Amino acid sequence: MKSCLVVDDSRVIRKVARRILEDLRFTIDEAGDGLEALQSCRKTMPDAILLDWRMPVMSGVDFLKQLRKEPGGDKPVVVFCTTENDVAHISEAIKAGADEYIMKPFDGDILQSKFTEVGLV
Amino acid sequence: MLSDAHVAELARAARRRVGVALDPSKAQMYHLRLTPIARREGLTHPGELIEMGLMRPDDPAWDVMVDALLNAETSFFRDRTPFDVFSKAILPELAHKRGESDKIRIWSAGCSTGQEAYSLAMLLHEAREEGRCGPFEVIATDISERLLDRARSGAYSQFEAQRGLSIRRLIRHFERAGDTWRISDRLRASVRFINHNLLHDAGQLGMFDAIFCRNVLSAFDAETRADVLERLGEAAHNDAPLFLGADEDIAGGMRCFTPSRVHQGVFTRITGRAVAA
Repeated sequence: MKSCLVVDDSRVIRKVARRILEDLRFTIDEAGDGLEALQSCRKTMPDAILLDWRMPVMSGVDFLKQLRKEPGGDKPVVVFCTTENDVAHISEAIKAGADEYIMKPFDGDILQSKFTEVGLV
Repeated sequence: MLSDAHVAELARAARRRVGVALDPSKAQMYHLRLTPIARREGLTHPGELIEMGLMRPDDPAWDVMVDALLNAETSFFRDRTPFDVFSKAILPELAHKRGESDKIRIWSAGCSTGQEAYSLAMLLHEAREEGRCGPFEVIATDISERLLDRARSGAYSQFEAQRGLSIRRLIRHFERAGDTWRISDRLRASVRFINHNLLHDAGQLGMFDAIFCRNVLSAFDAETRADVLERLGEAAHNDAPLFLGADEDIAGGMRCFTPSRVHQGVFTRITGRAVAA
């Protein structure tokens, strides 16, 4: 089974994502902000990260920039999942090292389609 | 709920007008789809719409009703594999055959709201930009003017734009327009949307190097399927691939197509076989 770290400050979104991803046979860890996510990755680097943009303490994009500098930080496939839905934000995320990008609101089909796109499913 | 008699009349109309076989077990879905049309006509029940139609067999209302019942389900790069096969295995050979002077011509038959046609156009544009193919043209047809209008607009909701489309392709080929994502003018210009009934002669569309007719044949009965396959065969160059849906086959169309030995869901136009009676 592949592992996925779901990073979002909304407990509801984390719960929804967890349900969908568990159906896709992922084991799930959760983090409520970028710093918590970074600490989790330093312990165990996941196969995939589903990442919100706007979070307290450390934003998704700041987390991603830092992650890619960490030992083994190039390994996780990172899929943004955010309400930021303009081309400028999408381009910034790709430049920072994101592999895919989901614009909220999303559903199970979209999440599966994006994970398939990057070879996770 | 529509009565059995109403569903039978609808089925007769759908069969006669577009060759589609309706499934009587979906009476509730047909009821829901016809209800807004009945309301627009000032009626309270879709059954009344059918009763009205029965009094006027040539009433355009029948076309509107049948149109509302057609399956429009689609998405960008639906099922992925056919597009990978086309891009990696078929296109290089076609590009070699057509060169820079002849257009590669692809037909998206039963194109619904256009996602399949635009997916093909994206692949071909990308190949052209990378020098992997010459000029091309995608012809997309459907019997529903309502669906064709949507396809021509090239505008998709955020949900539709995210289904099957990678984010890199989204920002490469689309522009954001308010709440929707709109296909770039350049991509839209490479796809021509034409109203065409698959039961009719396709001669005016010209000949094609590949045909995508995915998840369309399953709506027809066996006899109609065979007819449609003959029409597709008439429009396909020798050896041209025909892409069908994952659960579809060419039963009834073996005179003009044969299953690919390599790729599942792909059928090859039999060389030199005249299919016209």
